[in-house]
Amino acid sequence: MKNNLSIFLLLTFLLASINLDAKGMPQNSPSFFSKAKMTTAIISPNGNYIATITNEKNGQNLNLINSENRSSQVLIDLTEFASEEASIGNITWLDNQNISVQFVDIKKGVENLLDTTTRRFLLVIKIPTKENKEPLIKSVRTKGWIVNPLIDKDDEFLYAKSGVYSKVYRIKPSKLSLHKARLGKLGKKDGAQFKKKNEVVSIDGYAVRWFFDLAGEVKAVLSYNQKGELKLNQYEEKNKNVEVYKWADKLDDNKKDDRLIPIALSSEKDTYYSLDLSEDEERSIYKVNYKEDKEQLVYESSTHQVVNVILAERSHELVGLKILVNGEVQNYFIDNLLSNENNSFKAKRNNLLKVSISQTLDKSQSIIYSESFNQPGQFFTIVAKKQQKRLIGSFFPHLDNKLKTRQIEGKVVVEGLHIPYLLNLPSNKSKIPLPLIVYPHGGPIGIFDDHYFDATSQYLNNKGFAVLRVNYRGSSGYSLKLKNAGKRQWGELILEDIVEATNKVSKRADIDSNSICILGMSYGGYAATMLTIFHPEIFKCGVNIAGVSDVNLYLNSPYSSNKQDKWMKEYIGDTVAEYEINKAISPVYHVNKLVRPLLVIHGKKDKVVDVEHAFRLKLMLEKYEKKFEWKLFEEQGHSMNSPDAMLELMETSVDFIARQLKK
Amino acid sequence: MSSYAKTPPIKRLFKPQEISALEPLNDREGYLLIELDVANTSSSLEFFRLKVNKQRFLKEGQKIKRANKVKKLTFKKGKEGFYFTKLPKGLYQIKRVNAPSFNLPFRMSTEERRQWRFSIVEGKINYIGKLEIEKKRSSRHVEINFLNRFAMSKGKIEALLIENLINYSLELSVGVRDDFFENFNSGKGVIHEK
Repeated sequence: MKNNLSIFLLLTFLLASINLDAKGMPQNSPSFFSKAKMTTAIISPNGNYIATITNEKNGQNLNLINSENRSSQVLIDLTEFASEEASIGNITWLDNQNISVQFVDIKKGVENLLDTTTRRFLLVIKIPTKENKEPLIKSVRTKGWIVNPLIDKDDEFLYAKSGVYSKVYRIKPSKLSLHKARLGKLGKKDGAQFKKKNEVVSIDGYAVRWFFDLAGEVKAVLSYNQKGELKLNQYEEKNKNVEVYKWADKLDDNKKDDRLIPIALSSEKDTYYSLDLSEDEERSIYKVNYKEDKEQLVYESSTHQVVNVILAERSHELVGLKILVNGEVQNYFIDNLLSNENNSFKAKRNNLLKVSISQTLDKSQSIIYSESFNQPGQFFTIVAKKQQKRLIGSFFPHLDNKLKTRQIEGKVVVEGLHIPYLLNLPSNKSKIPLPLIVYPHGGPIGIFDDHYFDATSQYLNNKGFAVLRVNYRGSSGYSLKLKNAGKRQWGELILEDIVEATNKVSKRADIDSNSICILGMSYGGYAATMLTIFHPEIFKCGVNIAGVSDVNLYLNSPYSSNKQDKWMKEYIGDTVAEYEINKAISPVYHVNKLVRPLLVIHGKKDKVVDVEHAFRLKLMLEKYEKKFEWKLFEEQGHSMNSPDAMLELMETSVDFIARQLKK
Repeated sequence: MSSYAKTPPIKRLFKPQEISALEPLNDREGYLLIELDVANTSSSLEFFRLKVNKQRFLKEGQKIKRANKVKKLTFKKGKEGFYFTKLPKGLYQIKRVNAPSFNLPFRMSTEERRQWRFSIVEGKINYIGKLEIEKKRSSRHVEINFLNRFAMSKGKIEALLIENLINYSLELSVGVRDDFFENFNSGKGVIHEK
């Protein structure tokens, strides 16, 4: 009896500690904002092994999975291998035995005595011939970078070294030394392979990118010459190159190609994937033929700054982006390329993203990345002959196949323009209308909400709210017409688009039109404040996270570069010539009209929208004795991407909204 | 030739004082109030007065014209908090920040940036902003920012003035147009209709 009682009490405690949703699905809140478990997976040329990178409790692991029996082995456990702040990325199979991985280590210094230094190595890992044996970890000690793995050639890859003269060498992994081994007196650094005999190609000047085709032949080089000019040289034949483009000292907006810098070779002849340096943050990918002066916009990242592209190993097709999230480079896999014919995007939009990211040499096996609005990213192997699909790992394994939420796509016409929106609904189909949270994205220009997994929307769905995300004018990802229509519409038609979409959605039978609040970050925080002030008949409360409260203060941001300053003048407004106009669209000067409660949240280390914006709003709210709540995150910046901070922020917001809607 | 040789002569050096050491103002003078969070040794600001007609910020298209020689405001290591110095009234441009670090004479030119201006109003305590100098040893990187943190610091400044029985009134005196404090104080200028 006593035992039964103990079991009963234990079960009661366990059940009480789990947050159950309407369908009884266990959903601990942290799961939506935790760090992704598996971030990438690549298959060996013969298909025998899969290499993956995972985030573990204390750091990253490089793992090796046997394709046949699925046994897994940790090749590198960073917590044991290096310092706490070390990281690995950019894994590539060099042949069937060797994997290369970019390794960054931080060697801590001593205050006023020794500098803290960052060390970068290309590690070359020879996989063990027998399971559970230790791998051989070697490294290239010469500064440089891998330019081509020569995947179909055993024990060879191409490595670039830059200086006054820049060269590419053919390197043999077998001749490299073990990573941590001390070289003896007779020991030769990197097996003395950086010598004339192993030179593949060279150029007079400092090379920043080499471009090789799939066959391992050099096609072009981007380099600085002795005068400091950046130029692109193309190789017609080996060691014979011609300059096809030279960039001016300063970015010249009138010369269109000057803004586009090549970062990778595409599968089309003489064509490169390029980034647009004139954007406030590089988010668009172009295909550019510098020789023929042709450019084509092929992709726009939904939010983050793009630092590189991820290409399919066997086709050089664009399959993903390397994006910058809070100073950390992350993989972002993308859907079908957007066709930009006639300046109009024709995205094949569906709710499932499925992309082949790695293939065996004979193309018999592939790794597929897939993601949908209610399924975070997963990696699968596909065996073509057997039509067999097996899961390798996931971004958030604890959410796999657990979310039964719905997503509805719609549009509303505002001033003749189609404004698309996404409505995310919780899984329960009860007859009681749902409270709605309108969640406008940040930006506002050149950013959009995509169709795939969005942790915040799913978290809010899980808490019982419907979520409306409006791709208002200024949003990218749909059409240039939609994007360009956002110019100088900060406080005008962009807000109107959000209002019209909210009005349309609020008429649905499953939405409670009397229970609507608005929550947003950055520009979304600005929109939340403005719309709470000006549309109290719609919005019962607002949550402003890292939002702009004084547009002129934002335009005078100390953090913006000259380039961003110029961009803001064109897209938002001119703080010198149009001060009054910007003032008229600044929430801080309209606080006296606020009648609904507002929650103001800001990170003290925000270097995009300075924390002064939140303090100005607070002073005005206090002056006019308005109802508001306030939360300052001491250690957070603009994006608040720390899982703990994000969870605290969302819990605070949901608690606030729930209390306001109960009244 | 060393770059030092090109540095123009500095007419006058100013050392910021703590509030307890404030000297009385002369005619046509105001107090400059700067908030510091400076991690470097011997950091300094070089600035000059602009040739303008009683303006507190430049108008559209108006070019920078120097009225007098470059002056220098120097800071010691690890200074945090609020510091004052007397200056003649006018609009000023900070032209350079010197923040020597890691045995290197790190300096940043700010001459063309409007965010690096301030104004001095006669007989007032002019808050010009917060100077932050951070250094990161891992990348030998020095980050310098001049921030308009008036609303954030207003409470602290007012408490400091009351505590020290300073009777001069406070003014938001960044060198670009900023109506916030005036609107906050008066309520006028708050926009009643959209």
